[in-house]
Amino acid sequence: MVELKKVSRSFTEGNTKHAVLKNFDLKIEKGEIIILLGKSGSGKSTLLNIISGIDIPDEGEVTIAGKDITKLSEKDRTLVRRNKIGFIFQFFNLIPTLTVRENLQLPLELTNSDNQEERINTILSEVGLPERADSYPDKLSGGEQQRIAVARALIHNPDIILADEPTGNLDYETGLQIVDLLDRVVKQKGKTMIMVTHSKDVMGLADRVYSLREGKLTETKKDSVIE
Amino acid sequence: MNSLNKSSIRYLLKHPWQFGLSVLGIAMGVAIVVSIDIASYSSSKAFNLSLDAVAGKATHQITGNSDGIPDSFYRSLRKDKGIRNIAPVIESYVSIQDSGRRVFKLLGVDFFAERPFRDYFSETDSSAGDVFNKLFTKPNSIILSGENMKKLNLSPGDSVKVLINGKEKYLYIAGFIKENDNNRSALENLFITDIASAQELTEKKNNIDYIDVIINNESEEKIINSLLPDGFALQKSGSRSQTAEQMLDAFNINLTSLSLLALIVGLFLIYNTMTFSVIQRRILIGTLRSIGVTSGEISRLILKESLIIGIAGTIAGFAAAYFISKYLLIIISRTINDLYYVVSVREIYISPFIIIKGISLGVIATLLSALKPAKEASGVHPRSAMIRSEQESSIIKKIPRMTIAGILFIIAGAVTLIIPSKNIWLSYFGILPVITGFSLLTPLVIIIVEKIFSPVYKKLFGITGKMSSRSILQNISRTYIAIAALSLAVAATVGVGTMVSSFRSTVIDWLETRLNADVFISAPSLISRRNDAVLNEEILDKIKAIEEVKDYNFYREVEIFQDGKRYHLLASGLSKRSYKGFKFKEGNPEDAWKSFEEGEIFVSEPFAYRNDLSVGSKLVLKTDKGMREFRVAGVYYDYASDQGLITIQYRHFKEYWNAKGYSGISVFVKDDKAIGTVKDRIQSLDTGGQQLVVRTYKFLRDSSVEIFDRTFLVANVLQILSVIVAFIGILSSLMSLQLERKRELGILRANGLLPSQLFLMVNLQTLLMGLIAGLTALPLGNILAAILIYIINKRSFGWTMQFEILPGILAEALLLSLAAALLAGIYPAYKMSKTSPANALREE
Repeated sequence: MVELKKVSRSFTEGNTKHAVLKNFDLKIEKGEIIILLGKSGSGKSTLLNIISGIDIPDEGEVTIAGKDITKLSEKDRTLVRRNKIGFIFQFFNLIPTLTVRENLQLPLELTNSDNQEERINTILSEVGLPERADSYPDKLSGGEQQRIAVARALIHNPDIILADEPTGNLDYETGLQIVDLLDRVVKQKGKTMIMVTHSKDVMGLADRVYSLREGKLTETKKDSVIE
Repeated sequence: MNSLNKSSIRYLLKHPWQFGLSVLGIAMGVAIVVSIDIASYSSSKAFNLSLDAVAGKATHQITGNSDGIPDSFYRSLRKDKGIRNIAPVIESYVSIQDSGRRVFKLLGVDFFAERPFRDYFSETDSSAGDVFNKLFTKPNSIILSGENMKKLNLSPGDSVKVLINGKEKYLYIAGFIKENDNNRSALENLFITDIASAQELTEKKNNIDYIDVIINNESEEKIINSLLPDGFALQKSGSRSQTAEQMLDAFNINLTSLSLLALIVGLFLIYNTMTFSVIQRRILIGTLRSIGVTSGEISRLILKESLIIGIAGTIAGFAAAYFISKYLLIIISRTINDLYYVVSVREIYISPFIIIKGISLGVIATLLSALKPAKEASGVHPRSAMIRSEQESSIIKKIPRMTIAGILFIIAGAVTLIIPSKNIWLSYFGILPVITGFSLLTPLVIIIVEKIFSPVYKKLFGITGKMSSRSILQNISRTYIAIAALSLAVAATVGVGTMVSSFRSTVIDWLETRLNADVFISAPSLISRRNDAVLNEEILDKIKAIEEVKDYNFYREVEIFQDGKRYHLLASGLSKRSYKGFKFKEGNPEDAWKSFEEGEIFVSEPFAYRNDLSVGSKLVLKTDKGMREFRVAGVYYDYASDQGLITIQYRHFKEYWNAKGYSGISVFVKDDKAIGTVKDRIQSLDTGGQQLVVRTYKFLRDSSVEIFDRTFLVANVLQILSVIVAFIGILSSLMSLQLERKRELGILRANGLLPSQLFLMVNLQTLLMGLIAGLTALPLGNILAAILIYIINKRSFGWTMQFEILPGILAEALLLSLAAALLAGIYPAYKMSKTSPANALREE
């Protein structure tokens, strides 16, 4: 489903070049849930950006559903992202000028999906917020906003979900609700998910856990992290 | 409507200040351009309608000598040569003495020859026979439209006192013409009389002004041409209106371009707003990009928003233009009457071209100015968009490149401007890169000024002061656009102000040198700048006989229509003491005067420029004795006419032209103390009913300056409107800037900053922004003035002007900039200081 081969990415700051990702490979099968751990600045978000086509590596191949997206134009990479990927952000990033229903409608419109109303109602029920359909994001609590963000990432039925610290901006209880939600709506639907997180509570979802350190990816035992 | 569009419209509605001010800015820009167009078009339409009304169905006109066409020639054409489709015409202007001095065109026609030309004469009232009877039997009888009769409060049988060629006369109302849709506009400004009465009223005795002709084919044209004596010409009817339009070309282009300046400021505003809205929404745009919205879709979204602003602004602009144009029409038609020709405009006319131009400027230009912000939005990187500091630091990083680009733009503008050309549009086109270049230098100026002022502010106002100045730099991606917009508007006022003042000084210097006599005499004229009425020759003899008169000058001005152009010829009977009043641009004065006395001509600087003449060039002129060639002996500075003048010695003029009388006389008085006495004596001369306008040097100088000031009144109005547009711009920018800093200011309030301290902080910041804008505006304004003086005016009118930097204007500009910024900052400052810190923090 997702395959990275010999991927390297570095950034220049002043005269110094920082290698964030160094020549690494990663293969994720359909339906797998991968968790990425690492310190701030270790390159976790860069890796998500590269997988989503937001950023391109200096070297290497990134294959999504059989296509090397590094060879695609910026527009085509965006279309891959639009159709194949759902994004969940730490700071929710709902569109403040759209109601909850309209926020959910946006990915459906972008992908020209059918039965939009029905799908919105279904997913709102799934995330437990059918009554907030006509509210604007600023009227929702942080947890509610993130549930809508999860719904938005899933509504157009993408194959891959990329989640960047989805519980990082929530309190413990609310974070657990989001983990539970991800378990129900992502894992059980057989979606591939790559999640960057520091939260140990999410580890239960993972098929594999990786640590990113000094540009290298190393697989970590799930149990050792939870303990 | 899809969700992206919904989000975009709601964004506009959620920022009503920003949206409303942008719409207002564009509306003002469009309103200024459209109203200037409407006013210019309405004046020329009114003039053309009056010409059409007179020309009727005539295809051609036979024009004669400087004193017209003898009516015997007309009779011989009609009777002896059998040419039937011709009609004699006398045209003059009358002003009603007791009705607000309204001006009407007096048209003298032969009613028996009229039918094929002007068919509205059949529409007199039921007692038509009686009306015609009166027209032929009662001297000075006229007919006019029923509507005009009502407006002037007259009835058939009444008399009305008018001034015609400087003499008071009475006109008798023989009857009226009923208006219908076909003749209404033609009759709007017309008095019609029989040709014999017209000859008597205008004292043209046995002459007529021209003969209207209907020509159906080329052979008829050839026949008529073969019958014309020397000095006569057969020309197409439309050529007079074309000549009139040509006269106004440069005047109109300059009006349009001044109005475009306001629009450029308006467009800057749109650019400003759209850039702001993109910057404010970087996170949002980044999110959209992350979830798969393409860069093309983002850029279309921004363009759609600007389209909404453009359409709303254009609609509002047209509505405002309707009202502004009514005021501008009064100013512009007064200037046309002062400088070019008599025109009476009572209606507003709008052409499809004006509508298309207004819409194009409002909508297309708005879209164009939103292109860059749209491109920036489409280039927003999905992730970096979320990091605000990156964006400020990226601007800082770009400053060296922006500075170099700015310098290159200025050089490109300078190169465009120095391309030798007479094209005025090319010159205006050259201004654009100069303006853009200066805008690109603004960030550098901000850094320099901030470096200087930061310690000063800290010392004066403590940490609050330092934060004020520092925040301009911290928000440079927004502040520099607002500062550049204000700077441009202030520079425009400096540029136009300096140009007008420099021009004014030049004209005053010129008037003081040229008007070297003591008392000036002319007949009352309907055009301020030249004398269209003539004094008879005996008056000069009577003036010469006044004991206190030491010396005198006289001149006769005639218009020559030749090759579709209108030349003004001035025949000067100058006393030698007046020679020093002429300053030559080309030619040695001594040789020039010698050649002048031998029959060569002088041309004024604008005339030489328009016709590519210099000393030694030959100019062929249509004289009453046929075409004659004259050598140019000198090119002199003259600011009386932008069309230019040809000057010939009166003695030589009489060799080639028959025109009688004088257009003006000036006298030198033996003793300055006797000026008043001489003036009184001239006024009490028996002139046979001829009214005289007798003015002293001082009065004439002052009234000439007054006309000058009236001419530039429209420039001043446009200047004020541009500043208003800029003010809206800076208000909009500051509103957005301060509202965006809500959280930051909320944190300061939460940490104990008093509302009054916050108010002070915001105002100190806007004051500094005003100062930066003012400082950048001063050099740019003076460069604009130099371009206007040395390039635009030169290419438009051919005038050389002295350039003077006026400290008063510079100080005013700086104050204007500071005041505009301060005023624009007060409301946002007040609003922020009143906002609860809890709200400010929560809303984020």
